[in-house]
Amino acid sequence: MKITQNDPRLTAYALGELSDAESAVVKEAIESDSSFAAELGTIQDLAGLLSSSLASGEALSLGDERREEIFQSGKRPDTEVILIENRRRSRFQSFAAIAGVAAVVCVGFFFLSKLNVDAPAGVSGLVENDLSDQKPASRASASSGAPDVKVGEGSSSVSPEVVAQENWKAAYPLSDELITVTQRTSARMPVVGKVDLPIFQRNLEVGIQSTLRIEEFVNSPQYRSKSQVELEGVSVSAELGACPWASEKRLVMIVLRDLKADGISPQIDARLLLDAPNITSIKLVASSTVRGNQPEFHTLPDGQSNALLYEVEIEPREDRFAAVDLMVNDRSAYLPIMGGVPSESTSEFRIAVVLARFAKWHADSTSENLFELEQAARILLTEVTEEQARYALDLILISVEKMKVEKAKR
Amino acid sequence: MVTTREEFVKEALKQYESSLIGYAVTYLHDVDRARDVVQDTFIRLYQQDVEKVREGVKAWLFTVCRNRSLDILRKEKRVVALKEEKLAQVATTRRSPAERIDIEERLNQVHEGLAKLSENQREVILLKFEQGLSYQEIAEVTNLSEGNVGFLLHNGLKRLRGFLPKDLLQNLSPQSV
Repeated sequence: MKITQNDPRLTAYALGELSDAESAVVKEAIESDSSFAAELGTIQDLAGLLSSSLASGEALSLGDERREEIFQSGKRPDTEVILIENRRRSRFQSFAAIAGVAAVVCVGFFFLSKLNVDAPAGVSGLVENDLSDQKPASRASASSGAPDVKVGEGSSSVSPEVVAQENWKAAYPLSDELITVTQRTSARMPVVGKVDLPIFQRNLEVGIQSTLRIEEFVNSPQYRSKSQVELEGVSVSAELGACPWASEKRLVMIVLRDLKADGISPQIDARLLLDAPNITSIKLVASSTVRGNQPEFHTLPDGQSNALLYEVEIEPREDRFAAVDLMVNDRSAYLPIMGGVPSESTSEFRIAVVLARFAKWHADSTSENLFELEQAARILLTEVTEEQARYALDLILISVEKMKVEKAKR
Repeated sequence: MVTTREEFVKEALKQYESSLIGYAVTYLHDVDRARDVVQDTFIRLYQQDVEKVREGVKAWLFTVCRNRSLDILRKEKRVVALKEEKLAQVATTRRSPAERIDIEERLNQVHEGLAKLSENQREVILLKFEQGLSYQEIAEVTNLSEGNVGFLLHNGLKRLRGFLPKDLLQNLSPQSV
């Protein structure tokens, strides 16, 4: 094939990018026409100039701390599993722990009775006579000068309890084997803000599933979960539900949300506390807001939410197994999470789960059935109005359509 | 041959850490944020199946780094295209002081020329000459075909030549640097 002076192969030849066969063609042209040789020389000069000008001279480094974090992260496998060896406790230790917990509960309820706080749903039977006529916890906040903590209705499985001071925490204690989750992850809730559909579709058409990273095209939808705790304009909620990919496990969704939308991103300190005896394993499946490589526990975008989805394996009883410990402006709130699974999940929870499954499908198409996800997405689209969530769910339908088209072509 | 995951990532860090930070800086204009992106990129690398990424690790790293940077820009609704003065500033900050004095003028001229190119022409030129990626690697990073990369580079270089002062190529061959 004849080449011209404006042929990209001339540049490719100068840069050593051609195959042997193509190089031979260009070489022949250069040898037969001096104008090609002159053009080649000009390209090489420019290439040399650019390489010497643009190539980095001064080495840039991540620094020791960042490097260490990379390897620390790597040492925790992708599953982010914390195995808790809680079964080594002797009977005596267990008995002592139970006795200790009982004592603390009694002390806690004593304080609660003084502070006019509602009983937690999970233990109301124990103190029914004492607390049945108490008012909501927000009253306790006002009367005690405690933080501005409010209690919402919450889901049936996660008790909407609030304990805003150390004394209150004692009323709903976790065990003495407490673990604070600080694991890091690069997982991100695979959800959509304003998706660039042409780019997304192009990727689907190309079929490079391994290079398609949904989160590169999307932002997070806003999870408007009903507040179970409100503190200084920050809402916390938690919901427990079935884990579709592992029947022996559960999924917990925790949503932190800035209710004010006043132009200020609230600074928060949120921790998930785990009750070791009640938990066998836990891993963070996804977080809709990630800073660097870790879920964001220290700030919330103004007026927006951060949803975290954890996969947990817990003891088959309805005890509390974890709590969210939230601090905003030096005030704290505390939301215990109970083990019972509700008969029906909220649409926010189901969106998060479907999107997490979609991400799993993208990571490994054999791990999830896309057509099942399509059905779930269609059902959710009939009831979800939030625009960003609808975008996210639409992606699943688009993926299925593309797969069908490709299948028909074959 | 690198055997363990940790050794593999260490080797990749050694080879690409600096150039990836430089690459991310061209998008983010901020070395610290570029470091965040590159750290995240290497954490992702650590979580990959080494055997799957070993062959194309360079392209893989640049792809992830680029996507993370674009993701940040998208979220911040910032314009991706680099401003002329930013380009120059970014490049000069990565030079030693002595080199900086010698090449500043030429560098400014090159960046002035680059700033006049289309975004995708500039991107492939930077990936080729700043980061040393092959056509195939650039294609992987940018999701373009190799043919398209070659075409963009060819036309981009041709246009760039028109924007550079006539004496620049004559007086500053690679050997004179």
